[in-house]
Amino acid sequence: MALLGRVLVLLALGCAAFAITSALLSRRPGRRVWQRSAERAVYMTAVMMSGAMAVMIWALLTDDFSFANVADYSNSTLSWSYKVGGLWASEAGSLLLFAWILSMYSAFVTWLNRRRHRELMPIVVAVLMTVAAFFASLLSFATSPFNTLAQRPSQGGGLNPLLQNPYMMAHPPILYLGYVGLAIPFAFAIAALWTRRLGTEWITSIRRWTVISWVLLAVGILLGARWAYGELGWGGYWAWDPVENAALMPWLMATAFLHSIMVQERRGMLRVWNMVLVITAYSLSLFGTFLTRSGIISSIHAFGASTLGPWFLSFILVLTVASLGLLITRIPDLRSRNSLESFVSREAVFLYNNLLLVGLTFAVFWGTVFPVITQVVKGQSITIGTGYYNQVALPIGLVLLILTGIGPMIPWRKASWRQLMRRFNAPLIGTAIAGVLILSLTDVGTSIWASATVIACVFVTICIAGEFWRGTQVRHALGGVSWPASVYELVARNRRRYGGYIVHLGIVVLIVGLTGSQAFATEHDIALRRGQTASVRGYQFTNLGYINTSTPNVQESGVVLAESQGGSRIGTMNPTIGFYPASQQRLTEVALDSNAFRDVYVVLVGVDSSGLARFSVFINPLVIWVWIGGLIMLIGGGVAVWPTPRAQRQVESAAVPEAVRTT
Amino acid sequence: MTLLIVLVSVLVFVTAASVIAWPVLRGDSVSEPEESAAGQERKRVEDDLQRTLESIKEIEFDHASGHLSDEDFSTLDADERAKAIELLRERDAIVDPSTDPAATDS
Repeated sequence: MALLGRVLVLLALGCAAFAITSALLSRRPGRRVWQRSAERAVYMTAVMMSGAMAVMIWALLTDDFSFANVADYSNSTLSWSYKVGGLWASEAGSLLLFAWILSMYSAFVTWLNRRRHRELMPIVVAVLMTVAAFFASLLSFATSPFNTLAQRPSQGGGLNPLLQNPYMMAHPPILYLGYVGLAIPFAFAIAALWTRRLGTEWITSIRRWTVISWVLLAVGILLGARWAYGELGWGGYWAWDPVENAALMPWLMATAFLHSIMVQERRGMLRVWNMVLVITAYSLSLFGTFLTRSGIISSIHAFGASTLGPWFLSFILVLTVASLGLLITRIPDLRSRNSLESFVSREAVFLYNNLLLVGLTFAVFWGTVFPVITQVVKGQSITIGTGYYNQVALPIGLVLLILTGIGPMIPWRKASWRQLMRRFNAPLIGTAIAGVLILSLTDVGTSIWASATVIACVFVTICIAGEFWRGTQVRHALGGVSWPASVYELVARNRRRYGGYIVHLGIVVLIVGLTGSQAFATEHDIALRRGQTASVRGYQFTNLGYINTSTPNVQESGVVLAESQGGSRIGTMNPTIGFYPASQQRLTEVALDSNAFRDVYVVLVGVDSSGLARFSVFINPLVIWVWIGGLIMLIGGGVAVWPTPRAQRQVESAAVPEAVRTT
Repeated sequence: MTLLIVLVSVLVFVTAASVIAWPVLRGDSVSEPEESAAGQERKRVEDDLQRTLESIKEIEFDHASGHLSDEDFSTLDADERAKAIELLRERDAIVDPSTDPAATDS
């Protein structure tokens, strides 16, 4: 079977190479038929990659330990889902997943556009298949998931216990879907540059893809954070780890791009800037892949020993330099049709938003690569701590948050002082009242940053609510329908705008969670014998006894803790330590009691021979809102990309030309 | 087993090669109607028109909800409407031989 897997990857490489050649050939006069052939080659690349994936998953599910990858990252005691997870636990397996996702995306994009964008599609196909060919080459010649062992072991090494977590089953594939998805806007951007079709055509084609990739990246990042929170046992979920940063950077650039394309669509400005953002976002997504696979950084997520670094670095350099070179040659064609008329206008706010996002990305990039640079220059790696990132991210994030509220309220082109006063009166008065109440009734005032952030969140929420209210009023006046129906129609008729506002609301909710859990979290160490009770910030924990459970995969020893507040029992917690025989590793399993106001997070540090159990107890306020914020962002993203029904589009577009003709 | 896998691999290769090469071997693209250059241009203009019409609606909505002053609304709306009219003229001027019987006859 391993041989079949290898052959399928090689065939995928052949199909991708053929697709590149025939797509480029189809651009010559009279050779249009080659485009059909190129499209079929793209579909075949996806078929071959799917076949290779099927072989790999089959080997994992059937415990075929003759595959080195299965022997190293799985064993027969794992559940089927964790066996499949062995695919992305390994370097070669995760590259196979990456290549498969890319091939499927490419096939889907090719199929969707088979009768559209005749000029752009050959180049789009060539770019996507170049990336696919790169990954297929790595899988064929550098690191194959289909390597076999001379002697088949009777049992495998098993999956790293840290990865045996439901969130880790979803986090890597979803993150990869986001990373790889950015290849599509990149391919269309290159096609637009190449063919000099630099109007809004390419932007319209990739807007939806960019939102989808952006949402998937956001969800992937949050799933990773949720995994770290539940699995690593240090009470937090984000530590500015290089691999976390690697996912954050393309997300920040994609955020900037999603805002700046609106300026290009509406005002014909920032055309070069948008190209730079697309190219950088994709280069950074490849850079993220490079970081995890090169072995140049140490991270909980990274694949330690790898020889792929030079391959990736070369590919990223070639791709970035070639793309920027092409962009430079097209700069005369990309001149803006308009200029910034006022620094107080929506396009100006989007520009500030972009500058801040790019600045933040650069700061994160610098912090991430600094250890590598110092290693090269000084021969000693100097790691940058979380203090640096927080110092940079907090002020920038706060201003970005405020701009999230201001942007949609300011008109395009320019705003007069009177207009601004009229627009912002209610939000500012509402924010002032809410601010006074929050500062006087809660502990938020003890932290300046937290106070500023929470007040900014209130401001943005009022602005968003105001947008919905004004829109609903207009829709109600126009449509003669009920208020709830007006809200529905408002969103349904302008999904992109109001989906965006829902995303903004999700970000506000997420930031409330971040602020609460970062600024007001506490940690306490307690030690309890059976029957003893300890108090932590108003919560009482009683050691009710010890439990031991065993499965072939893991032997768990834990403590049953009664959790009480004000004398009333509110729950039972079971922090444990698991021993995984296959990998001979120990791992703590966090006990978590979560509600809307706080998380009680208990880690069993150990139990000594006298029966004294030691715990770390964290009280983390508002953490749940980080995950709820992510969910709201997902919903908002879904609303924004949901296609408008064809019938509605036809009715609307038929009605307006008449109106246009009559003017 | 190895022989079987080799046979399957060869079969997969031959099938893939045939599927990919078929349009070229046939020497034409009759399996799916090719769109003429005029048809493509018309589609591009219609896409542009669609975007402009959406933009007009958005400007109207922005004005109604107080985002645009009367003066800015007049300017932006007039710009977009002029662009839409230009695109409508452009669309009407495109003659697609594949859909226009008169053009085909000639």
